[in-house]
Amino acid sequence: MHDSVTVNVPDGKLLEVAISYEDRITDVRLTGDFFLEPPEGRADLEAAIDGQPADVSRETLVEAIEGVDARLIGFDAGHLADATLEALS
Amino acid sequence: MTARIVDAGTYSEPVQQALEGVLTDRLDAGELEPTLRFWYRDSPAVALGRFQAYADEVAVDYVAEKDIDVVRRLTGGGAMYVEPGAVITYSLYLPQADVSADIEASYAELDQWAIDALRSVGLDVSHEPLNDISHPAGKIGGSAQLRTDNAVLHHTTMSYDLDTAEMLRVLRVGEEKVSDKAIKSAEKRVARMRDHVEVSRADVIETLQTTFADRFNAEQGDLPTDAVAEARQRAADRFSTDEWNRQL
Repeated sequence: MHDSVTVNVPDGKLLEVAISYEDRITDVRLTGDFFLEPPEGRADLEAAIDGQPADVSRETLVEAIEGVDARLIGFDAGHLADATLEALS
Repeated sequence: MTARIVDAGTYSEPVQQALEGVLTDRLDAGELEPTLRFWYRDSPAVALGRFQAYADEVAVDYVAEKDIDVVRRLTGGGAMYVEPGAVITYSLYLPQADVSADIEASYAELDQWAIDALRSVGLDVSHEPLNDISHPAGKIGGSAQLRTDNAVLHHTTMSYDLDTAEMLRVLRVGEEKVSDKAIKSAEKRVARMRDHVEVSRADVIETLQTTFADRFNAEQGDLPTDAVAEARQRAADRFSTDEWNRQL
């Protein structure tokens, strides 16, 4: 399965999460008009989602995203987790 | 240290974007004084946000046909369509120590002198979090930042009298979305200075400079002589390549 979800973060930015999944999530791509410091953190955020089981909980996703050493600006780990869960549904 | 205002140099979009990295790196290394630089362009272009998907943001066939440069910035944020003489773009290169560590607060702080300058020419503008300069008629401009170990880059583009009909052909705004729930940031209505005040673009730029100079004790100056050469090299290596611009 492949799905891509674009969400508007309230008072913030646009996040697009594209994933493939069977048992696990693969081929994660995160794009949008958000900010990240450092910018290289984008690949780390994708890696935090990549490999998670397709029935991953929101809590696990948020924890994995918060574990990335980057400042998310214009969105937070919950927004990214929710967009990922929506792409999985 | 005295701040410097640089108001010279017309460059292609890849060189402009490359200069951002060169000058931020130099400030980071303590080789550049705090600087405000105004941009002059030689052709229409799209400045794409660092994390945006190329094909989501630009009308790929149209920009190819019109030979419009689409250049990925070092900074996040949204795509801007720009035309020589129709927008005002400037950059601030500052030491981290002089800028609020709180990012949201720093956007407001670094936009404030420009907002005051625009108000002094009669434009009813205000800062709108996170990174917009707003007018009652719509969004007049937007800023974007990049932070390195010791430096902050804060650059802003504002519409003076942008051809918004052309903008709608160049950027994929108003097209059917991947999801109906999502509205692209560029769709926020664009407001143009010229629709609201009888002031020339040159006078707006002049007012921005005098406001900045008064507030921060800045003087006119030039770019370091070898910075442009370095930027041209970086433009050739990165900012004019598909590998960089179409990486997403």
